[in-house]
Amino acid sequence: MKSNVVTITVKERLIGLTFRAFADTTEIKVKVKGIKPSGEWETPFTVEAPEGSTVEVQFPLEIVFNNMPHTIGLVEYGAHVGEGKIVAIASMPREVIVHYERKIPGCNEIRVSSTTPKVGEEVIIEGTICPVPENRNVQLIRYYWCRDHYRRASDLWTTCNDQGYFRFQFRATILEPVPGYCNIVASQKQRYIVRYQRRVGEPPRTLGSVTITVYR
Amino acid sequence: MTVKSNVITVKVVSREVSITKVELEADKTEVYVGEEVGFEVTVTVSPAPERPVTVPADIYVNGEKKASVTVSVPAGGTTGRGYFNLLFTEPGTYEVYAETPDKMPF
Repeated sequence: MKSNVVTITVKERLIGLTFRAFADTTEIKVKVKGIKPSGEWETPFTVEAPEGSTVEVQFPLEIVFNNMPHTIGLVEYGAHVGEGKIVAIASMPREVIVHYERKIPGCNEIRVSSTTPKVGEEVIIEGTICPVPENRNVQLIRYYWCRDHYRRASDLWTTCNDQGYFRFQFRATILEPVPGYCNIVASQKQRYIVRYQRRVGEPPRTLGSVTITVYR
Repeated sequence: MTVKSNVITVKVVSREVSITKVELEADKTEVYVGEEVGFEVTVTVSPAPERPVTVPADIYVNGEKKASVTVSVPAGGTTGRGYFNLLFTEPGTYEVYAETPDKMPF
């Protein structure tokens, strides 16, 4: 004997993330492009995303405010993963605030010795952080391209000097296919992100990122 | 010489009840991903059994068997209730129903 049929509708819970942008301490309007979900907005705006999902928004890395170049500094409740790309997790409704800070020539920039090194060639990633981080620690996050996405590898750390200058030096390698990491292709394309904490207890800031392709 | 008597045929039948109605109710019909729904199955039998009867009910979700529940009908009663929960982890529309045998011995 069959019972009546009960229909259950299961919906995704949507979480609102509000993106705002500030230059120095003034709220500004910035045109941004949604990567996930796709779209185009101007700050401040709210994106609704399924609970637990990742929202990725492309902000301009640099803007001009008060006739002065400004670049992304601190990001609250989100992460700057380089090149102006901001990532936030829709775990609860909140404001993701992107702070643009005045760009001082020669400050908060990174340089790479070569974006197309050969295996074994020395690669230098260097730059200067202003103001100098309180704890002097500088982090180099390494990502290797794996088929269709970057996969994070172990980080490198160094310390900057009293002028904020830091330098990472390593030999270019191609990560060969490793079971359990990226077992399909050798990772020639690599991305390096430099991060630091201005003050202990603050969220980390992304100084910049570089993408290199290592050749055999 | 032996003399055979007439044969008496004894028919042994099981005492059974017919299930006349199965009703399914949910405590809510709209949920968010990751939430549970509580269900109640009510089984009506006829005639009222002299001893308690346990009726198994299979639970189907979108035509696929997902769970089983037993419903007890007390002696002298005609209805019994069983309870179960289902967890929904994907968005969508789900059709849920229960199915029992047509008859149950007791």
